[in-house]
Amino acid sequence: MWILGISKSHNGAVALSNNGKVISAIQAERISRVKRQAIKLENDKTLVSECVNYCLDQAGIKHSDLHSISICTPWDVVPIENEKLFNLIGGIPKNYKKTYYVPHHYAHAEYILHYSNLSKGIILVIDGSGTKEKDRKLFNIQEKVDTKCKSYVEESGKETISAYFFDGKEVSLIYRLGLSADKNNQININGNGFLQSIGHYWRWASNYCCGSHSEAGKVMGLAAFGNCETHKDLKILTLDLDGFLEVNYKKLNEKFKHPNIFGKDLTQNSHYSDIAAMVQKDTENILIKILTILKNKYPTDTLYYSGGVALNMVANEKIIRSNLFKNIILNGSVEDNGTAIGAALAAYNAQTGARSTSPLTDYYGKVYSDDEILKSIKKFPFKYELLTEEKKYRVVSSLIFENNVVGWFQDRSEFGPRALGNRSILANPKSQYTKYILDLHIKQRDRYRPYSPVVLEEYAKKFFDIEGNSPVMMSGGKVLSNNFPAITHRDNSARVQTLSEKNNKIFYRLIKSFYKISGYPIILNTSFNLPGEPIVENPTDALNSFTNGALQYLCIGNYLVTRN
Amino acid sequence: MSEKNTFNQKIFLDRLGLCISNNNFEEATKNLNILCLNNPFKTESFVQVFFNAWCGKILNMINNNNLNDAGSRIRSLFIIIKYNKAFNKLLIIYLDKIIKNEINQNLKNDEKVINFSMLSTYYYEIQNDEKAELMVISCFQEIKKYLVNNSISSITWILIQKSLKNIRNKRKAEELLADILKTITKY
Repeated sequence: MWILGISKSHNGAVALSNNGKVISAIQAERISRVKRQAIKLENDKTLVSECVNYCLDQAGIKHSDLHSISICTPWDVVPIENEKLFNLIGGIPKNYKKTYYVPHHYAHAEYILHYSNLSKGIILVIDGSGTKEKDRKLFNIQEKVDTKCKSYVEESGKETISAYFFDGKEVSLIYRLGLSADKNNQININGNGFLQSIGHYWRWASNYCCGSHSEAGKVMGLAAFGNCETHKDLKILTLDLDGFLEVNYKKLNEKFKHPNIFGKDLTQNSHYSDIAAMVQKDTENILIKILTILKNKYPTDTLYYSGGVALNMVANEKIIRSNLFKNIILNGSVEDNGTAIGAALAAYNAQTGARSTSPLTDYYGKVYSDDEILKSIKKFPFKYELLTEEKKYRVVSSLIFENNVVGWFQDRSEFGPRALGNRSILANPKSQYTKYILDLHIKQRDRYRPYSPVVLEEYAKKFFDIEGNSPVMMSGGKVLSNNFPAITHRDNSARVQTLSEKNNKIFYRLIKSFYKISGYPIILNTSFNLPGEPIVENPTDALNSFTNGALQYLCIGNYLVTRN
Repeated sequence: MSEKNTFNQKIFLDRLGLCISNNNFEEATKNLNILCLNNPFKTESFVQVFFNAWCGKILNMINNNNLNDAGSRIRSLFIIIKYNKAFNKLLIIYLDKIIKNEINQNLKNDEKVINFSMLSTYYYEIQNDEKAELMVISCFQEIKKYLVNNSISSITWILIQKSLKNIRNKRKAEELLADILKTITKY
């Protein structure tokens, strides 16, 4: 049963599932080359059909094979007639059953549930905002609501936090916050459009500290430079014992009057770093409070966590170390892109009552053949050499050890925002110059942003104070050695990717080879993209990035490309 | 009543325009600040309006041969704009006039370093790679002098980033970066 999932969102994506298994997925930004590309399902036929074709190609099927399409959106729900929808996807299914419309947070929940052994647990979804309450009647996949559900919603509100309980079979809503942004609403009166939402609190901080509302990741990096005690009495984010959350925008607006409108580098500016530290600390505290309330009401050892706020690995680490849960399920596509997968899986569940599961993974992209790679390389004026598999590992690990920064393009691309070793830029974590070279020349970043390490799973605890494994770079810990300045953040932390051979054989063998040369099984791993651009998707993107960027080496498949 | 309810965006946009037309950078920035605080979701578009209006104003200054004021404004924008096509075009028009007419700009030390970086952009854009490289070298020399007594500032950081982009030969850029990194990490 082939089901296409579409995330109609500011972070548009398309996913394809078969009998509840995810076969392929792509973010629209990787196709359009515009960061955070939206899918609107309105006058964007070319983009939508390219994303759909991408998924169908990888699966080796045609439009005619599709049985259902499942759509998830945080915007207004607009039912689409089959004719229009088929026109948008670029083909007509033969045995089409139905178009599904899935609530936004519910799709986040189904996404994360897929990466478990389906044990009983709480599913927490936190993001900027999702489904509008007024649209609930338009969904043909409805949430089941638990009788004890605590719900703070208004008809004109949008869901900002949802929690569900999964009993091993069914998902039931147990908590929801979804207040209106209406300025006449007392609690939002000074919100300036921001909602009562942890995600929007981060948006506020992103706007204030970085001059753009989509830079929550930067704020998180900046937080390590700040002092969370400075504003501890402000109490911006509060939660009462019944789970009613409030973001006090009035206090924020009264206290903070100098937004960093030009997005200047803030490394030496405590005004902003203290704000970032406050937002980070508030978030960690509130998450623990919410989870404590939920766990008291619905005792369980398992937490499934999704939504954009789940990308905050520092907060994730706090949840892990709180020991509230023995099992915490986190995967790489917890942002809106993951709702394309969640929507497809929710439709499968609605049709069959079944669910399938998968190990944690985010490698849902297309595989490019050697021929396709060579064809692309030949279009560019670079030297290239075909290496054997073994030589590839030897040569690239030597280059990295000699402090070269290398572009690395292998196998299937990652679906989410993390480069997990298939579309990566790799460097030596030990060199004191690496971070400067990346910041000043290759990635053109602000200084306060950290770079992540990837470490062979079996050695992770020797080098990092980390609980369990982190295969999709969703948690981290302190760096236990002073020898890795390029991946050690201001507070000695690192967002770690632990790597097993099972998870990614090619990348594992490269790091193993690097370990043999260097004596340490760690490499700096950052996303393969130019400043302001999405991660590269296909060989041509990689070569374009190589052309316009400052890398000296690019290993693409088994080809090593160098500048003339 | 909340600030939002009484906030009149048009008034502040008009004030912003007036400040720019009067060449008052400080007041224009203050008005931009107020606009962004009261309508944060529009921050990026307000900033774009601000840059575009300044580009218009500066072009007017250049056309009226008011090159001192034009230069001063271009330098203040150069260190806050990461990349903007229209601004780069303006930079070329300004520097074209300065270079072709051999105008002495009488720059202070902190202005010189920005000017070298601007010149590297100019030569890169007109594809004179040799001169672009020379300007980057001069810029970095000034930065090195500055770093003897100061830690690296956010302005220095952006000037290094912007200058390195103007060296087409990436190997050469790496060499220059390696050289300046020795200074950065020394102090």
